[in-house]
Amino acid sequence: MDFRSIFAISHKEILHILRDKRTLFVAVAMPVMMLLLYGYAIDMDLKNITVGIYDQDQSNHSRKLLERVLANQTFIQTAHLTHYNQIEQGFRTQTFRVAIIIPHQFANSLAQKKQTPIQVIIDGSDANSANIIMNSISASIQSFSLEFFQTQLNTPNIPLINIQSRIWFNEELKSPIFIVPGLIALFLVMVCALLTSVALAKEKELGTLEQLLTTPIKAQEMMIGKLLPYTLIASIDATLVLLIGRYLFQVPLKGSVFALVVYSAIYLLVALGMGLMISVLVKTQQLALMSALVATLLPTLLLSGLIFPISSMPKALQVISYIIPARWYIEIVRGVMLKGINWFPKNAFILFSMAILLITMSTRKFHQQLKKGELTT
Amino acid sequence: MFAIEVHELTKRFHQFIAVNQVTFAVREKEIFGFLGANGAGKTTVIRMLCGLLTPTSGTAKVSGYDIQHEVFQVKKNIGYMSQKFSLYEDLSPLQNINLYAGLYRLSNSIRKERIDFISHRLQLINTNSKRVKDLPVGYKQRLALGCAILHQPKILFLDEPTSGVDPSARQMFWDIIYEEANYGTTILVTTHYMEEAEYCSQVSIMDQGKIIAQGTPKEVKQLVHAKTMQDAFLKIVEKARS
Repeated sequence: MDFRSIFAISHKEILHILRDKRTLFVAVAMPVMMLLLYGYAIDMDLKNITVGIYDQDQSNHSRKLLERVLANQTFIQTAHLTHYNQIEQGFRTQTFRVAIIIPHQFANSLAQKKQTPIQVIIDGSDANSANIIMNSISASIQSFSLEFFQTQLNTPNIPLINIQSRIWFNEELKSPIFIVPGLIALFLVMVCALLTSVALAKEKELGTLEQLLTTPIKAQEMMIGKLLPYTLIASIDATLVLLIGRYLFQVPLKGSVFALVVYSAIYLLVALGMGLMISVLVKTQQLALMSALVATLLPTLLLSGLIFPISSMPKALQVISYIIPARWYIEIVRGVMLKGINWFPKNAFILFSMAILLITMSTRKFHQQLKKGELTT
Repeated sequence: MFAIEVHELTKRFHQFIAVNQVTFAVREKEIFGFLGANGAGKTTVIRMLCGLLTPTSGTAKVSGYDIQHEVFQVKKNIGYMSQKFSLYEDLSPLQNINLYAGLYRLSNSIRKERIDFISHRLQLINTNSKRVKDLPVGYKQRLALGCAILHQPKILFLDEPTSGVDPSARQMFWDIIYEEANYGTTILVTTHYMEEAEYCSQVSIMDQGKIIAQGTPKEVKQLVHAKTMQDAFLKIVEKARS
């Protein structure tokens, strides 16, 4: 290997990048803008769930029960119903997503210490939220019913099991704290793969590769020369998105910055390697960009555990998720930032192997093409 | 001593035989002209000799190195100017030259000297604030030639170097080619301007993948009793095809 060749290629590549300010802007600004956009948009906390209330009883007890349900900010009442017909109407017009019906005789029935039913209807078209809504409402009603029971018996200290649950690492269950580390992984892999995917494809398409290949340059010199400038841009991107995650989205950083930097560097190499591989395999820029997008966006979004937990996926998908680099990196980021765990030997090893494999495989493939003269038309 | 020795070189693209058992040799410091219509197989021969394509069969040695097994050595000793302009349009001429100086691993002092020489000799000074894509065709051709001779190669391959260039620029091109030959460079040049063949010490006429005539321009003309190279070429091709 000769450093002069590597330097010549890197230098040329930097000149291209500086000449093309638009691409440079996209490369640096895209992950930042996407992180801002998605970080705020993907909010899985339930807030402001609309509720329609049909209180047939209009008693003191029924009002107290409803107050309890509406007490936190999860639910807001948007309709006051006076007839059953209005329930279906309300769901159809999306005036509310939950209907609570308190029957006549609610207070009387309670006073007579009878089993007293009330009805809760939930819009199940969004199954995930429906589930959470149901749990939240039953919890409120359970606690109301328990207190009522205690006051009736005049014994506030009945021995009941009292669950003291605590949530660790994300005490308030805020979505951004869960989502942002995943998004960092997603946008880094996307941008790096997109950037490097055109590195060789562009030269093949324009025919400039042919002239380069008449010089005594070796495959590995070419690859390293091409990768260096993009590694620099990728590092800037990584720094920016990690800073935004930390300071704008308030993702805590409990572990060490150094560990995070080292793991991120390995992850970037994997991403650059993916782009390089694509660049070796395709012949046009268009195809390279499309392939890079297809290879990174959906697999990372769906199969990396970014949003959907891997443990609840079908077995086959779980197996596929092993080859998604972001799967391993997200575990690391969540671990280092949220839990303060700095030691991820398995994940680091897997990512490192992926990077080495991708880069050596693409270099070898390029070398073969070079020898067979397949690179020019 | 031969600079280029080619023996029964063949290149097949699927069913199409682009180059069919071509044999020839180029002596050192010679200007060897490769004549033929478009699609005759000239470019394919040159690209095999530059290590850009692997032959289907046959062997060739460039500067004493086998084009299949010693590609790296071959590439160190050659300069190549392709038919299609293939430098970077978004960079300046000097940035392109610097890239190739780096790729040919020129030391700093030689680099400076050669760049000075080339930008003066090829009249490329005063263009360095511009991007290549904004330069006229003649400039681009000169720049391509400059990058090919930058490292003073032993053997220079020029594929249609004067196509699309006006007559006065063509004259300048040939002056430079002569100069390079005088410095001791062996030159293999393809052209379809027959009058340019007169500048060559040896010519070889290719048609449909085969070499159909070879010799000095004078010998080739005498072969078919022609007065001009143009005339000789047409007669030879017609004879070969019938």
